Amino acid sequence: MKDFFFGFEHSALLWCAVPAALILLLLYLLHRRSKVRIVPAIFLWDRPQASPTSGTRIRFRIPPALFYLELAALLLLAAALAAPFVSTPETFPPLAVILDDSMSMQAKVPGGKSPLESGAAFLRRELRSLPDRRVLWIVAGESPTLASDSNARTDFGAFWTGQAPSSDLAAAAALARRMARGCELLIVTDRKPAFELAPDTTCFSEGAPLGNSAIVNARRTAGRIMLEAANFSTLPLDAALVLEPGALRTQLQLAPKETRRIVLAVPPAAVHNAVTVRLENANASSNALLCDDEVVLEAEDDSPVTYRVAAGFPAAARSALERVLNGNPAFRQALTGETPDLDILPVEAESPSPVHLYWLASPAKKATPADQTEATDNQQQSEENAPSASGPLSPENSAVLSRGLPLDSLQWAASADDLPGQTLLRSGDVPVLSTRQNLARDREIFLNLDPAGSNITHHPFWPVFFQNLAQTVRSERFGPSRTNLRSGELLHIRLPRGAQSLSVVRPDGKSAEIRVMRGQADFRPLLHGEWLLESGDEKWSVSVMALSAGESDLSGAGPFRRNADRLAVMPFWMLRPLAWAFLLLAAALLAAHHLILTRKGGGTC
Amino acid sequence: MSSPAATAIPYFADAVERALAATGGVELTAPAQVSGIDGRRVGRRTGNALEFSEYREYRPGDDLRRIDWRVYARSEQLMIKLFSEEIDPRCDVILDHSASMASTERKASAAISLAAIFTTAAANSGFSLNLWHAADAFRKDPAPASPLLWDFPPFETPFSPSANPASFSGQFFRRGIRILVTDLMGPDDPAPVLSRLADGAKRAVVVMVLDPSEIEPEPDANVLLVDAETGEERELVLDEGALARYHERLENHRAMWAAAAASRGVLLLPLSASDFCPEIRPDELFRAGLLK
Repeated sequence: MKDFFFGFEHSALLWCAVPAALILLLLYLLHRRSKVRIVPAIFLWDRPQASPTSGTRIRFRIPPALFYLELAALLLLAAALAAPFVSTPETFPPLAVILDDSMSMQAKVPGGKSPLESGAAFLRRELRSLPDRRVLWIVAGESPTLASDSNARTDFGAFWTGQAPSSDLAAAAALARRMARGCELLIVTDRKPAFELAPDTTCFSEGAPLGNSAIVNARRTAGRIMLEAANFSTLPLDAALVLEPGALRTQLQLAPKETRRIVLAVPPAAVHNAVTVRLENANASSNALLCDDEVVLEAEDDSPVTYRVAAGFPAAARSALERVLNGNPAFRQALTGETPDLDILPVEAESPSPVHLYWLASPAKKATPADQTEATDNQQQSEENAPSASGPLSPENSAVLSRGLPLDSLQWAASADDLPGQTLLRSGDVPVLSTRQNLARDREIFLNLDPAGSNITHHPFWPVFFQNLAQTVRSERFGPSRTNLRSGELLHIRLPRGAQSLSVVRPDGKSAEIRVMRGQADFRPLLHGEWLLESGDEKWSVSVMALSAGESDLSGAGPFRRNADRLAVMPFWMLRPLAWAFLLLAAALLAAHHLILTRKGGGTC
Repeated sequence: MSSPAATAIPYFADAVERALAATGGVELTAPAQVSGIDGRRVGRRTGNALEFSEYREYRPGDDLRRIDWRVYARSEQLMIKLFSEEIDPRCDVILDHSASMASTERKASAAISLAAIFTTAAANSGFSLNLWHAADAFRKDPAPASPLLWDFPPFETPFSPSANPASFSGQFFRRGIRILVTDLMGPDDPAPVLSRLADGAKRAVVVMVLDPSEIEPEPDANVLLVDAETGEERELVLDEGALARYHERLENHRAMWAAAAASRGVLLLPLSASDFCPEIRPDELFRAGLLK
């Protein structure tokens, strides 16, 4: 930031200089037309082409130095009229501009202006008078981001795109208050904020409650596409869903405010390719947002998880494993020589697989001599080392592996040994299921379960757990954790061993490097469309979709102004006026002008 | 183009009156070799005519027939007898009426004043007098000795004495004084007009009158120069460089005329119009021996 900045209180008056300069130029043109002089012998004078440096016609078009003096004086006078001032950044509190980056900012009727376009015009107009004021540009998406801490001249269009699935304006305001104490807030959005605005907060909204039709949900799985189409307008919707490739059309009639779930079959030819579903609404006036009318769904990676069961399991455990794995099509036994996705081991051991399941199925651990020495003082604890069903089961730390596990009437026998990593399931106070990532970045899952003392193999828990395990293993495969996601959702990418970089190509063609930490990368793609990821020789495609019912429903949008006219109005005493300096300079120029004229002897110029 | 002289003499009456008032009693100086037939005026030159004038010592080259041998017999000095010649002096005043003479009103007034001075001085001296208005054609003024009655054309013809020697065809007096009042602002060869002026004249004078704005033009930014006679235009910035080149060309032009005049025995007298308008300061004319 600069130590001071310069501005005009009434910058509009600067335009006075334009007609004044034009009038001056006109006067010069009229005054400096060639004066006719009758001479008795023109042959005594230069011919125009005789001298290129003087006395020729070409110099007639160049105004004399006095003209520039007069013009400079005129500009200085106009500038003085506009009340120039100089000030330090402390004169004004910082201004935090919170830009609503949600999709609804793009809504507009044909030929109209979107709230984003209106807001941008408002910002350019209002901030023009104070170009050097410190401005914090905060983009309010699902989570607020400080895009720039600079000044009012910042090109905010580079980071304000209106693509986020939602906007948390309150969090953005809180972030602004934390970043710059005492700052003024300016919120540019498309509706009245849902929270109470502080007195120094300015708000500008040019939104309108427009009608809209949208695809608000989409998922592709097992050869099917599940969609939710919504009609957020007050008129019935007569539209069509068009699936590409193949241009398969499905007519769709929706009542006002109706949301309907539709299932479409993926054409056999496109099972392994991306498909596009487009909602075609012929009535453009009831479809203010276009970005939510189309989704692209990449093919999900649903190939079976290959596994290998190591030797050394008790017979009951092995039998339970074979039953659940053979009955689940998501698993396939690894072939000889093939590196499996999942290694199931009775004890911790080295494995080339990315996921290791350690089923510690051994019966109760007997007390060791070392334990005996402490038994005297802690007889109770010694007794709890015995295998037991322990207390009630309770899940901890939500994860894919523990999602939706049925625990009712489940009897769990386990040793009282502690488990490494993050506990996902606890029996009483004994951790029975945990997970961690080891130093080799492999996923390790620990299962503390004695099948002999448990009904687990006959309980619904067992197949659900392995279904979750399949999903977990798939997510641990190299590449993106998901291929279809909503705008703004977190995308996790697991990179092949040795990969040091990840580059992404956005739907708009711009590319960027994503920071890689310990072979993984995370980022939240916002732009709708197909993103290309590349790391070494590996390439993946990810589809980012504008799926947000809250944003597609524009009924809550509307115009709202608060203090919108006070941005550039600051107490005069905070400024140091500079008009006197401009007037002084103008006077000096005019004095020099007069001196030159006097020396020339009466103003022949 | 309308020139100041288009209104003829009434317009210049003040200038003529001032000239007459300032030079009321002056006479035109007769040349040393003026001769005539009628003998109404005694010539300065001693000759072989009517009246003894004086003796002087013989100088090589004198006519031996004029040696007074009787004086030689008495004094052994060779003396020459001088006689005064009675003459009838004549004068032609030619006033250039080309448009360039009226490039400024002051210049036109000065030219008319000069012509008036010369004709009045000639009349005062008893000269036979002709005043020629040199316009498209030479025209003799019917009242040459009365400037206020002159009837002359406006200064708007493209006449230039040097441009058309053939037109320089007034019936001048033989063996008289010929005075041409002009500005010599023509690009042509001076020889023909000077020869025409000097042939058969006892004395030929060219009075070159220029306006101060032509001698020392002011610098200016944007000027459209228009030739007074040809109408040719040049758009110039009159800066120091352009003016310096103008001065150089003007001096060369004057020098060319001066050299041509000297070679033909013609007196070239450059004058400034400011000396004859509005105030009449005829000092240069006296210094040059034209007036007395």
